[in-house]
Amino acid sequence: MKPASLAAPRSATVAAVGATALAVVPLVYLSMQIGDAGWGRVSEILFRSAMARLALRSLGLAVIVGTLAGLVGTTTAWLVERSDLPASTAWHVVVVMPLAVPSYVAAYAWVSWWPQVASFWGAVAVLAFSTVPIIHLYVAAIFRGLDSTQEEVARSLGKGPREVFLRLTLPQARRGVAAGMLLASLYVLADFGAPAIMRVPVFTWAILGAYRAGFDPSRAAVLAGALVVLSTVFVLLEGVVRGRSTEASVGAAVVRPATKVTLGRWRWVATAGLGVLAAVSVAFPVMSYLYWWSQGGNEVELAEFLGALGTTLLLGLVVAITTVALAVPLAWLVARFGTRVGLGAERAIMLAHSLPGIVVALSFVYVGVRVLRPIYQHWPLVVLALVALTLSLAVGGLRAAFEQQPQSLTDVGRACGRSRARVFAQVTLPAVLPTIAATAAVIALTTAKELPSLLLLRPAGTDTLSTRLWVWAGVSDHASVAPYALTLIAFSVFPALVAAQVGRGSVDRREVV
Amino acid sequence: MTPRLSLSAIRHSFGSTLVLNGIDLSIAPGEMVALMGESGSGKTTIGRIVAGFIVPEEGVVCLDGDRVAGDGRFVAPERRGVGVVPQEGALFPHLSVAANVGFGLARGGERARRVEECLDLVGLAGFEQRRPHELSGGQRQRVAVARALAPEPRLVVLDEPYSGLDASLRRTVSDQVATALRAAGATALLITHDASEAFRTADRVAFLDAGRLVQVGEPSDLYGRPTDLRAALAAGTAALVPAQRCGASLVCSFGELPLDAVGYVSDIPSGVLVLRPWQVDVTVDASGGVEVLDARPDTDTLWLSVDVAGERVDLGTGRSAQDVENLGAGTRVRVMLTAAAAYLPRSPLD
Repeated sequence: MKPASLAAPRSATVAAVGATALAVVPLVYLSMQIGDAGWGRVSEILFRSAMARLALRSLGLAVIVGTLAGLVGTTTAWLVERSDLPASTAWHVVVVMPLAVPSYVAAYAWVSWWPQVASFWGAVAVLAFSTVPIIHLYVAAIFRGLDSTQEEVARSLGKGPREVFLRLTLPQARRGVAAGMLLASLYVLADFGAPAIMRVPVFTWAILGAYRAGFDPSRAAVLAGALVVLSTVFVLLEGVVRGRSTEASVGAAVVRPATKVTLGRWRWVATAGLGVLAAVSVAFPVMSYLYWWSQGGNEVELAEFLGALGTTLLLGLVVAITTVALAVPLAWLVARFGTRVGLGAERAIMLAHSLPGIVVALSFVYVGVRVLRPIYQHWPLVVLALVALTLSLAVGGLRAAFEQQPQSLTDVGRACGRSRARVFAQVTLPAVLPTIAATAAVIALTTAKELPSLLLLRPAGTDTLSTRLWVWAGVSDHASVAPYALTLIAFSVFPALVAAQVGRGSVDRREVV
Repeated sequence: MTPRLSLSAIRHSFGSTLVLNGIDLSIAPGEMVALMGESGSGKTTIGRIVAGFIVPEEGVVCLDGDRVAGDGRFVAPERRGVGVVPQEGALFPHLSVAANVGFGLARGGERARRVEECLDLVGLAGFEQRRPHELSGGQRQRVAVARALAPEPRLVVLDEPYSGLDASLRRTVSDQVATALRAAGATALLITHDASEAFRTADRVAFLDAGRLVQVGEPSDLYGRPTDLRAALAAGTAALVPAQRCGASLVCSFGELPLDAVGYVSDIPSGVLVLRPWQVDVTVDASGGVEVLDARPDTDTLWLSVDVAGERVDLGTGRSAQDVENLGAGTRVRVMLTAAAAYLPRSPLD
């Protein structure tokens, strides 16, 4: 038993438990809703041919997009990290930039020109372009982390560059590529906006439809439950694929810049390919909305726009502050003490992370209906749902920041006669403050583009940028969609830049003498 | 006989920093040479030039008389037949021990036999199916050596191969590796900053300082006849005592030494004597002209700060640590010099 002055402080534990409850409790209500429907009703909903088609379509979309994005993203990652591609750092940022275009904004840009694009394959194309950055970031990090000394040893054993790539680099990146593809598929399963705009009935869209239909609350719950099961399968698969790579790090004392493969004439082909990718996934939507905006004739009044903007910013701010306030104690607890409560809480939150936004939103509807009547269809419930949705985003980054800080710093602080609270305030917190600020900003801006939770939970008569966009998109008023789309893209540039930056700048590329 | 490796007039810089400034070195077949130097002296760069990972800006690298770098020619690392054992081994984490060792061998029946042979050589027979993460640090390093030896390379470059190991383990592993290299008849370039490692393993030691090889010779040369002050200190504990040349002897505060009792004598009027602990004999003598100011035991040397004619001098002697009690501050002693390793200019350290 540790003395209280060394054990994890109770206040942090309480905060961690609270955060976990927020992430998990809604699921409990979701399952209660399903339970209330009774097995007969559940099986009636589940075992219908429409259900099979829905599942097949959702799964097909996820797997096809994951595979396509996997191929493209692995290629871009290899080009940026392992070849002598000109201006590779700039290209890295460019390839990640589609993260700044919410999938429904990208999808609507296509449909605004060619309504007939709205189809399964249209959704495949849009979502593949949106998920390439996910794979790219994941695989690039792996390529960067590989010990280049291994490649040198292989060269010294008589293997040429091609053989080294095939026998060393690729086999070691294989699991990472597979895990990245599963993550991209998971993203597609959870995505609501793009399939809806492309008129592809997948789970997320069907859940909203069932909820809107109103007369049968258990149908939405059962569909959500089925989606949770499907997502969980992907999460487990991802864990299995990634988890077995425990052998990954066997001592790399010196980080040396990897030997880059010379592209020769292919460098121009590669540059052109990346250019097309960027043009299609980023430039095209941005230019489209600029064009529609310039055509004028939009119905948007300044007051309406400013109202939605103000609501979005205020909501983002409140959600960011609440999330960070809950995440900081939890991240610190896990990083510094690794207590069972802390680790359990973290695991629960990370598991909740894989839940599609629409499921979380629906769960909070049930929470609102059953226990939080007074705040149902009021902002506080919206904030709670968004906090639950963004908590995992905050915990991951903050934990890493706390872990980077050497234990000796706080030890020295306490040895100097300062209390733990003061050391935390004067030593620990200042060091992670930049991370906290960046996390808060990313959360606020991510909240801005959130769609399904707001569609389900927002108080009647109020709107954010994303819900306003949705309303105008519903009546195909391109000019009125434009200002909202452009504002959302502008908002999302910062989180995209943060994603591009993480892990990239930190490698010391000094040549070692 | 054609040397296995010869480096001639190698110069190389990183950016504006000149790292190697005219390196000449050759290694005979079957010979083991240790390249010693402080960190930043350029030793790793030499190893990388030999293996073919760096193209030297100037100079020529030859293997068995064939030019592999220099004068516009460059042979890729995979065509050189130079095995590499890097720091911490860099075993391929996704391959078993056998697959690691067999990586550089052609497929076929011969491979399994050769893998077995090489693992046997480093004392790891039976470890074939293990994975790198299941091995201890010392075992990994030995697998890395077996892997480098398997294709029977012309030369093996070992770059600080033991730096990731605990001090207690380093000696054992380095002896095991040296034995394996000898048994295989390998030609080796061992890069290290550790003198005892270099001395125990190598036939010859090359000492690198600031991009130049200041001394190349047998271990006993570096220890007993150093020609450079840094090399002298890197090769072992030494006290430095100012001295002047006077005819056929060298004169210092403790008396005279005939020239033939000194391993290496620089042709300078004034310099320092490099004294190994066993060359300094200290006896307690109330009538002695030297007063002990302070005594500090080191692991195998007793360091005395003494006052001789108003001058403070630090002396390492071969006396045991227990003598601290007898040689406390204020004790008067007599100091006898029996020999010296070298008489050198003192400038490099000033």
